Amino acid sequence: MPPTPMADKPLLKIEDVEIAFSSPDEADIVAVRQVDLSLYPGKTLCLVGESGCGKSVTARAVLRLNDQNSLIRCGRIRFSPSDGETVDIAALKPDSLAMRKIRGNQISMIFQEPMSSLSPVHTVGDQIDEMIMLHEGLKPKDARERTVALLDQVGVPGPRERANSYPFQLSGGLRQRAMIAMALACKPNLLIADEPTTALDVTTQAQILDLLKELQEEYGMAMLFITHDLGVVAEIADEVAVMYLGDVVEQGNVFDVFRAPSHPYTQALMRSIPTIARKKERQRLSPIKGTVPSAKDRPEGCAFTSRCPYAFEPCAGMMPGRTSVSGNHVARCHLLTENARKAEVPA
Amino acid sequence: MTALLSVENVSKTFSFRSGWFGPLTTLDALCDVTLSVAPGETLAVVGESGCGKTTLGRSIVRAQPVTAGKVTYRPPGHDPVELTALDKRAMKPWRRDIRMIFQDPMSSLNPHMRVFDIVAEPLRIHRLARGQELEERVAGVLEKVGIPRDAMGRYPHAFSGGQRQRIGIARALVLDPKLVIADEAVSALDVSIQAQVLNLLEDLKDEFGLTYIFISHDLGVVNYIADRVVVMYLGHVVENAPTEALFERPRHPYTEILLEALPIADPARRMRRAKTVRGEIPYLGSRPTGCPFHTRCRFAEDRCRTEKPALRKVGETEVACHFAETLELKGAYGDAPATRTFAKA
Ligand SMILES: Nc1ncnc2c1ncn2[C@@H]1O[C@H](COP(=O)(O)OP(=O)(O)O)[C@@H](O)[C@H]1O
Ligand SMILES: Nc1ncnc2c1ncn2[C@@H]1O[C@H](COP(=O)(O)OP(=O)(O)O)[C@@H](O)[C@H]1O
Ligand SMILES: [Mg+2]
Ligand SMILES: [Mg+2]
Repeated sequence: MPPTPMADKPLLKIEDVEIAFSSPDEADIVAVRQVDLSLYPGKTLCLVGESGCGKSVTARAVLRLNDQNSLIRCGRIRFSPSDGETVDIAALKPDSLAMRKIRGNQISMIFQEPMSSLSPVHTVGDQIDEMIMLHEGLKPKDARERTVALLDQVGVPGPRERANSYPFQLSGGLRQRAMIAMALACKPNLLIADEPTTALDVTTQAQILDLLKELQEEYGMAMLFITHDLGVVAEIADEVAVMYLGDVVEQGNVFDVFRAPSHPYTQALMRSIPTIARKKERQRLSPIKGTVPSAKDRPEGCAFTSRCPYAFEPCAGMMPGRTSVSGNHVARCHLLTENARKAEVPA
Repeated sequence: MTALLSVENVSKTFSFRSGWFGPLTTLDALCDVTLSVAPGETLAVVGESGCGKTTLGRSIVRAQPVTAGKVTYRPPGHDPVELTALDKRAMKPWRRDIRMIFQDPMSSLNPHMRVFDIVAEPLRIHRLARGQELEERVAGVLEKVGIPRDAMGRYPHAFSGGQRQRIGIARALVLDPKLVIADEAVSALDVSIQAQVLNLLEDLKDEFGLTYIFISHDLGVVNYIADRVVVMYLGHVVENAPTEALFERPRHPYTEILLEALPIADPARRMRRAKTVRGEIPYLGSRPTGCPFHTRCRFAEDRCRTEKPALRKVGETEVACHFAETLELKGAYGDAPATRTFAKA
């Protein structure tokens, strides 16, 4: 499939964002550095990386949901809904009226654990009704009709009866569907999904991924999808951004990045997942040595230096800039800059 | 080859009351499970959550009694032992041979014990070593799994998830077991750490001549590590086949669904997924009659709703489906035939 050309105007543009956490007795921890991401209507951007690399912090910054001790130190988060002015979310106060209007209205979020956004003491139907009444000013009876239609659309069987269930009465998959229905109740321009299928069986995961793709087609919303699973990325992404220790080390069209991973970390990640192959074609996994250092022990220069098999002189001294690989595919690696020898993707 | 361990017609029913005065409910977590593992083999057990994988593992190590059936262990150079017939005392020596590794290294390692004591504990319980010898054995096995000797004095919280899993593996290996049951042992780990632990498990297997029962819900990992795969659904074994046969040509419609749902890390292959994956596992308490899978099976007929298929041999595969001979199911390898034809039996 050829890469789809992007519409010119991004719905959300994250520019050069740095997010730090302060603590009373330690130096600030920089969780995310120099992040640039663009999201387009109808398209999915996947943020992928191992735990602690800053995926959730980045996503939550878009809704200004990070903890109180967090600070967006620099950068802009420009949100440009088709029916309104561009706002810089990074400049808004997290609890301002403008921010609350965006949250759960133009931008919704779903999580790994649905119980974090569903109330345990209200029925699923009542919770969705309330969202709809809030956003569309419908009467309770009409709201319930919309709720039932929504639950039906997200694949909840017997939606009218199930609307009367409490979240704990539903299976994990159904709960996830109910949370999706609630996130869609306000017809968001952007859906942020933070590992929504991680806790599910693969069978349920496959169904939820299909459902999200269908809904995206219908609603035309942009999606920021967070996962640690490259299989899921390959399944659902238009664009992918690979994170390591707070940096986006490589990003671009998903076909380009999977065909020619260009950052040594991306390459190493891909060599760590077992391929589905016959025994004779199977290779021993060659994972990266060691573990990810914590953000407060981040190496100078390129954060991957301490584990990179190709590290050479400039790596420990200077953070590499973005180098174009092809089209919109870029990676941050000194090997890619003009004078360096090309990184070799071991076959 | 004679099996190292065989499980014959094992059933396990849990009964519990919902609430203080609620009715007594029973739940069949294992139904007539039969399988065996050959010496040196890695046997994977797969299936969605709740299908009975952990219960099977716990039944083998006698962490809980079975309701029916028997588990037989054939130690090298020793008469077969029917584990299910042994009392606690008689079971004790065999616990050295059969060890279990768990998914969540944090909850399976006592947070108040130093790593040295965690790994030494089984040796102390079985009175196998003390003093200098104990120290050497513990340090030796920790070294094998990649934990340096000078870290033995630390507590589990000082280690990363991957390191904790290595400590769990060391604890299992310190008794020189023959059979290791790894229950989702790599499932909670980040991919690069998961790859390290998978390589470690393979190396240890070669070095110590181990046999593995590898419980996992991740078919990618299973394809990589297993020689044979048992697929479970609602407490039943529905398919049992050599790994390559299972991935090349699954014989049970449930296996096909699991393979189809597996996300493959190649965007060029994403279009090939059809909409076969549907439905959810029913609640165990309301188990369907007939074939346990018929409520989700796209091939189901009247016979499936009433008559339970027995496990039987088709080619290299053991499968419990009335139509196994005639179904052309889609495998997971590269360009496996995409056609699905269904001829009635
Ligand atoms: N409340 C917090 N206080 C301090 N540091 C935090 C906080 N939340 C996140 N961090 C830091 O941000 C890093 C990235 O976290 P996160 O975005 O949750 O990772 P993930 O990629 O797993 O979603 C963490 O490793 C941690 O250092
Ligand atoms: N101690 C127990 N009491 C009651 N039910 C149990 C107990 N242990 C497991 N079960 C039930 O048995 C079934 C199988 O569980 P389990 O073996 O843990 O599945 P898996 O490991 O495949 O996810 C589940 O429905 C589970 O709820
Ligand atoms: Mg996260
Ligand atoms: Mg289990």
